[in-house]
Amino acid sequence: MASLKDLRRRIRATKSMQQIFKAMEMVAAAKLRRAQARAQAASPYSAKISAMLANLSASASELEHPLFKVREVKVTALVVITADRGFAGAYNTAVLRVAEQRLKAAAPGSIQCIVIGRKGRDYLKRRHYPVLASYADLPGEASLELARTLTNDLTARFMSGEVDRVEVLYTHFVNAMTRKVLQETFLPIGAGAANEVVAASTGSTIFEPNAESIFEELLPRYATAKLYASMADSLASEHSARMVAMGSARKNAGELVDSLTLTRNRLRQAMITREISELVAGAEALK
Amino acid sequence: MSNLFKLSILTPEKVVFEGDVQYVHAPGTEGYFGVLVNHAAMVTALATGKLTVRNANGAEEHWQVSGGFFEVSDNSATVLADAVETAKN
Repeated sequence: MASLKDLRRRIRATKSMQQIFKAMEMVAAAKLRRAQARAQAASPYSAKISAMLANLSASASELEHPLFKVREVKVTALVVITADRGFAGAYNTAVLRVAEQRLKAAAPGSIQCIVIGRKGRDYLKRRHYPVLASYADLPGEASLELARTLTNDLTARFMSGEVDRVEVLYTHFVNAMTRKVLQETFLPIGAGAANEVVAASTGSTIFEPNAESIFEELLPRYATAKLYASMADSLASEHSARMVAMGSARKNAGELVDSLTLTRNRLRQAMITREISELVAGAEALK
Repeated sequence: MSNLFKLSILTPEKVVFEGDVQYVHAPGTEGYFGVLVNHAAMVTALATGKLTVRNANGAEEHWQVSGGFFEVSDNSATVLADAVETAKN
């Protein structure tokens, strides 16, 4: 049985942990709001650029571009988007579990990882999975800069034939309680993008200077926008996961404090009762 | 007949402008061009330069854009720029 002193110490410790959880929950909630706003602000651009790409490939079907070419897939690059920090419930684990399943199912060497976030990097490296490149110490908000760097890196690897296909694994933010790990094909671009909105094209659009050069300019921007959207989405998911995890940690700490307080009171009462009966017994004996 | 058309200026990060305008003057890769209402459907690449917009009240607004695209069809124009900064005159 724990002594009264031990109990008091535990109650104090749990209470201060509860305060930390509460602070972390509130910080995550504030960051979630910002991340969500950023993810939303990005969506008109990516919707428009998708429509433009569809329009372009519909009105000029003979367009060709290396980023568009579907090749025989020997090596797939798997971009895994995780967080730098933990304390976010199952956020990192969920993505990494899917990644690990893919890695285990595939022939050795046929999947190479490119990891974003320290958690993912450490996890995959520790298990000796092939990691081509990793990006850690991410900025606190979704960064266009990083999306551009990554797009350049990925397209370079794709063009050089190092990888034949690039897939992105990220966490889609559904609402504060729900997240979903999604997998999307990033390169070649044609796989999924161009077929979205073929209807809108009238065929009479003027392209200046010409369709080919616009196509050339459009593709990398489309790729960047898509990657940026995935990263912004993941970031919102991360903060919401952390907020929920910290919320339940705070609740659990509260329950623990309650039950410890109850035990402490009982113990204290028992001690007082014992002391009184000892005193009474002593007084009786003196009579 | 209205002389206004819709314009939205978008960057990957945010919506910079959205509203009805009279006239847009933009830096195409082949030189500056202007767009009025009922323009034919067009897609063009943008260079770095100054984007001028005359809004519904006839007042002019200016932005500095760098790279991207301009699209117009059915009296609805879109500037998809890599980066946009507000500029004075």
